[in-house]
Amino acid sequence: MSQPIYAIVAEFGDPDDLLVAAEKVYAEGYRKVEAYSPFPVHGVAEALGNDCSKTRWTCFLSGVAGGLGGYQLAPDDTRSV
Amino acid sequence: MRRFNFLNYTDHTEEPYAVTMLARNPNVTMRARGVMEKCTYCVQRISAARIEAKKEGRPIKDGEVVSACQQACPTKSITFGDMNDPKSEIAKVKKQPQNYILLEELNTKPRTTYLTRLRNPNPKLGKES
Amino acid sequence: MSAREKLNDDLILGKHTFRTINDKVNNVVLNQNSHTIPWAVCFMVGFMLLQLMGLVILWLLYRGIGIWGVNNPSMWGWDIINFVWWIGIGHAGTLISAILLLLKQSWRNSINRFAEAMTLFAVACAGLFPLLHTGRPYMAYWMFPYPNVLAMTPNFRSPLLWDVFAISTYATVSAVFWFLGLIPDLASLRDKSKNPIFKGIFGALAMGWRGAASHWQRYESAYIMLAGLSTPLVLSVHSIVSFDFAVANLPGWHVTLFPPYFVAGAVYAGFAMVLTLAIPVRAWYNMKDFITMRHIDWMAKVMLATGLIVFYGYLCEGFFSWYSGNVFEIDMMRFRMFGPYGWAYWMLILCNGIVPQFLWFPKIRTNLVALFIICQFVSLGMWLERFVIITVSLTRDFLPSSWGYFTPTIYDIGMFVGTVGQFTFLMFGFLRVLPMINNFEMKELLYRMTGRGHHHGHTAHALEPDLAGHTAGDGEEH
Ligand code: SF4
Repeated sequence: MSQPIYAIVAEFGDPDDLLVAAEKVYAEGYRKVEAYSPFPVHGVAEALGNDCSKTRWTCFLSGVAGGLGGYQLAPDDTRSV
Repeated sequence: MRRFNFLNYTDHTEEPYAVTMLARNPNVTMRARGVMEKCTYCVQRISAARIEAKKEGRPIKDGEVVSACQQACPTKSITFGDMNDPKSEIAKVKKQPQNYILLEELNTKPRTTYLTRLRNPNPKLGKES
Repeated sequence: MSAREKLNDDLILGKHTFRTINDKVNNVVLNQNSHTIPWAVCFMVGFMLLQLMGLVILWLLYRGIGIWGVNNPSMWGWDIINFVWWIGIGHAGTLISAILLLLKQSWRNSINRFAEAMTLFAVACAGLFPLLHTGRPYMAYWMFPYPNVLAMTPNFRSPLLWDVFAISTYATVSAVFWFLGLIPDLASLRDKSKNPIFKGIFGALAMGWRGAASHWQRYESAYIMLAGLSTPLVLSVHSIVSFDFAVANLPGWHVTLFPPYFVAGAVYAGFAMVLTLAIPVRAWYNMKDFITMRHIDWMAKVMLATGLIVFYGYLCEGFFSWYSGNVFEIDMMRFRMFGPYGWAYWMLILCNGIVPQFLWFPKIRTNLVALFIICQFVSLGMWLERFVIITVSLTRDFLPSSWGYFTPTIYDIGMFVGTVGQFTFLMFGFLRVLPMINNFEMKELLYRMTGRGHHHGHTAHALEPDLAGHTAGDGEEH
């Protein structure tokens, strides 16, 4: 009985090879793919179909919340007298 | 002029505390170190007068609040009152031509203003005192 | 794939591969034998001065700030001078990490980590002074607007309150920025560490960093956004610090020139401090391949440029006090130059105006000893600048009746050398426990320098450690 294949790991000697492979794997239709590297290789995440819209939205909403919170600190002059 | 309490000049633990308090100012708490000392325009006297006036349901009368320095001054050189009331003593004094503001050009709008000394620059009219 | 930009060959010297960079940077932390006598001496001296400061603070809390030389016209003394000086020193770190990042300046990569650490430690030193100067530091939380039974809210019209917010924001953003940058390097230390305890500590701090492409993508977008947040801070923090003076009405303080001139001065002092640390540290830890003469040269140039702005500020102050025709302003300038503190003014002109002009010469910019000495002059000069601005204006007010004189006491001196000690202590402690050079950014820089897409003289196949690696351009030191 052959074991079912859960995952495949490949190692690349060069960041550029990783990039080419990522593009190919994505084109072949694989979606549950991740690439690991010791430093950011630009384009790999995009090639694997990731976008970081979550980070952007989190940042934007935190900024709005922080701004509104800041206004709450401003003293209300009509109240204090 | 402001003075900052750089050190604990009045020791709150010192006995007899009540006596020191009386000697300094019985009406206000003595400030510890780290507090700015500044003219408060005798806010405790203003409050007292305001409470009295409120009880009787009337505005504070002109001359009702007498600041401590005004009370102590033997030559009555200090006038204290409501600048917003045009009929008050202070408003009249401030209208006098010899009323001036120290360093007025800085536009800090101080409420304490001064009256210049009246001088006689013409020696023929008599000796300046 | 974006085209790789042409980079200066001198940013990494020597034959380096990804592995050698990694080993070299991590080795300082993982191999505790890499710390030699100079480290021990600096750390110990810093620690001793820190203890001295502890004693001064203890006595200060017991007696009150009257033990300093502050007196009634001169309510601010060395404490605010030291505060502004330290805050200024921090600015180089933020400039390097934020503005140079947005401008895509690759030479920031090897110096950003410890310049950011320097920012944090300088802010930690700076923050002590206003806190203690309140006179009742245990009431310092009153400066924050929080709902309370005293029905008390801080005066938002006071620049000193703006300071509270500017500095606390600055400290927070700098700390987050620094930590975010550390995460991938902490993960690298976690993976390389043999000691299970250190592995655990680094692992916890790395917060599960695996170096996945999606990690990197989020990391980079977050990093850029933080850089965007820090960029206005570089300009705003010292502008607000300068408002402490500029918004006041005092002659010599009430100057619209202050914000830009303070910011330039801050960057100037900050780069002097970065160089003061970088020059010895790169020699002691043999980091000359990463912090190259090119970096040092460029930092010296930044110093020269900001120094010229500062000197222009002095000339402007002189000219406008005369041109204003205002008797108080003219007299203020006279007192600065020829008054009781005249010596400080002329020392300042010497340190900040004349000595840095030597930086025009490339020979001096690449002579480490000369550069180090110039940096000390600049640090002293920037301290004297604040001394002249603060002390002369406070003791020569509008009314001669409120004139005075300021003399520091041993407690002022103790506080100042104490914070220098604290800074040294923290800085050298940092060198020992965290990577002083941004490990992954250096690897990325090497990748960009040696990329296959763009050959410019390099023969590298960087991921394979046994291959030739990156061959260096000729550095001044080889
Ligand atoms: S006594 Fe005079 S100077 Fe003193 S607080 Fe009262 S009004 Fe001000």
